[in-house]
Amino acid sequence: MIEFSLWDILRNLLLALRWTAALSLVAFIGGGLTGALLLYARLAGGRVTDRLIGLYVQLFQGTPLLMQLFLAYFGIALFGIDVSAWTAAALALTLYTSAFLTEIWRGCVASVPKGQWEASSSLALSFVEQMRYVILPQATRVAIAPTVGFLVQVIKGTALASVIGFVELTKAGTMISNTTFKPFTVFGFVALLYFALCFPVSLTARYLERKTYGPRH
Amino acid sequence: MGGLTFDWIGVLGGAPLEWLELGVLTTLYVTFAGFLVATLIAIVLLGLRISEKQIIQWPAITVVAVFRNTPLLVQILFWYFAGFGLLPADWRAWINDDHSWAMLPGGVGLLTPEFLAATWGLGVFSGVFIAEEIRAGLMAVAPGQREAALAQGFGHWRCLGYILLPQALANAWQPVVGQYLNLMKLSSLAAAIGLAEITYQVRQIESYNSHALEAFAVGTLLYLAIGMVMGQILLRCGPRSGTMIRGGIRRGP
Repeated sequence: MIEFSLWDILRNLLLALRWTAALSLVAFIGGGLTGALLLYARLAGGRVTDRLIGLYVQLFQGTPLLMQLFLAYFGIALFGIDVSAWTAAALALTLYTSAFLTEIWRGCVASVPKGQWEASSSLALSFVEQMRYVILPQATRVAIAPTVGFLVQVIKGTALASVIGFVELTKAGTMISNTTFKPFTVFGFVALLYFALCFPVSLTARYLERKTYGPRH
Repeated sequence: MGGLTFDWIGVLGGAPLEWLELGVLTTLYVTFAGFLVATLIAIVLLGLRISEKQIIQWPAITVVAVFRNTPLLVQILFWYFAGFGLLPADWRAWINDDHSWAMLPGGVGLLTPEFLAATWGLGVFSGVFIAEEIRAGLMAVAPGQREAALAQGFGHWRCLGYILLPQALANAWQPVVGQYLNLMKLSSLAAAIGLAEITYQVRQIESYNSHALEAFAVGTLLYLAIGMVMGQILLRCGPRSGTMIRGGIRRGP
């Protein structure tokens, strides 16, 4: 029987960590762009657009992410399109992220006082100019902390991609644990690596939150 | 391809229907058991977290940071594969034995490694979040409440029990209910260790007659329905922030 050293285990987990990071980045950037587009559509569009996007948000927030991943993986295949686990995971996580981010950002825009909208439209600014010079600069300040905080949820969410067979940190952990029969060490390391990825982000979010909402001097 | 056709009988009839019934029961059982564990853990953590001594606070802060910053799936896998292996051998043998008394109605075994690991994993994870929600609710109580209670001769714990916690619970009840609902949704992850709940059964149907879309649609609707009923019950049972003490005076009759 082959002996696996601690370094063998850790090295392979670190290699798999790249895929967790890549999937998180793709989901976060893709979800951010889609979320921004949805936010724009929601602010600029009429009632029907608003309702439709509200439904989209409800759908993704009200059902388990695992179900969404399965649906992306097995559902798309039914239409005769061959999807890899990577594509399905990236797609599902991007949509999931976009639903949450668009809702978070909508709240931030709503937190800008109504007088700002009225004052800027009385200055004859167009919708785009209003957004660009008046609303977004104020909303962004509020949005940064919860957005960074949500990144932790995205990173943790990528672990579910292991269930549809995408080899990222968790899947690699399961596989290595099955070959080495050292579940305690392997899953301990896996948890530690996720912690190393998420904890600094959590701390940053908390710091930003204090900076934005904390007492001023 | 000849267009998409749906066959609901393939999911809602015969063996798949029986599987789904078992799945719903298992989800309900594991959610309820997880609910109890989460509540217990939240109480313990909250007790540690709001103590006046730093030494007691630190372990709670560490536990909260660790469990909030790792994925629940990894935690469940850890408890199932590693945590269970750490138990003494005769305990493991005892758990793996047949227990007719530990069979819940519907034929769901309570004393199985899968059920225990899922319950414990879900309970710890949610308990950590619930403790933090209630602590946030506690911090939102006006400082005058505490000062007034202390001035009237309440001690630390009695002030908490009679004055601060009732208000904190009312403040935090909405997000706490959200966490309990999240626990129900996250029980889907227990499928990864082979607990035969809804998600597990849905996948089984998918591999049995490849009715993927129908099975996932039914599964999603089941979660949605359980969540709505559970949310209503919890919101009805909980304290309502509107009727609670506001500014120190109870409003209305």
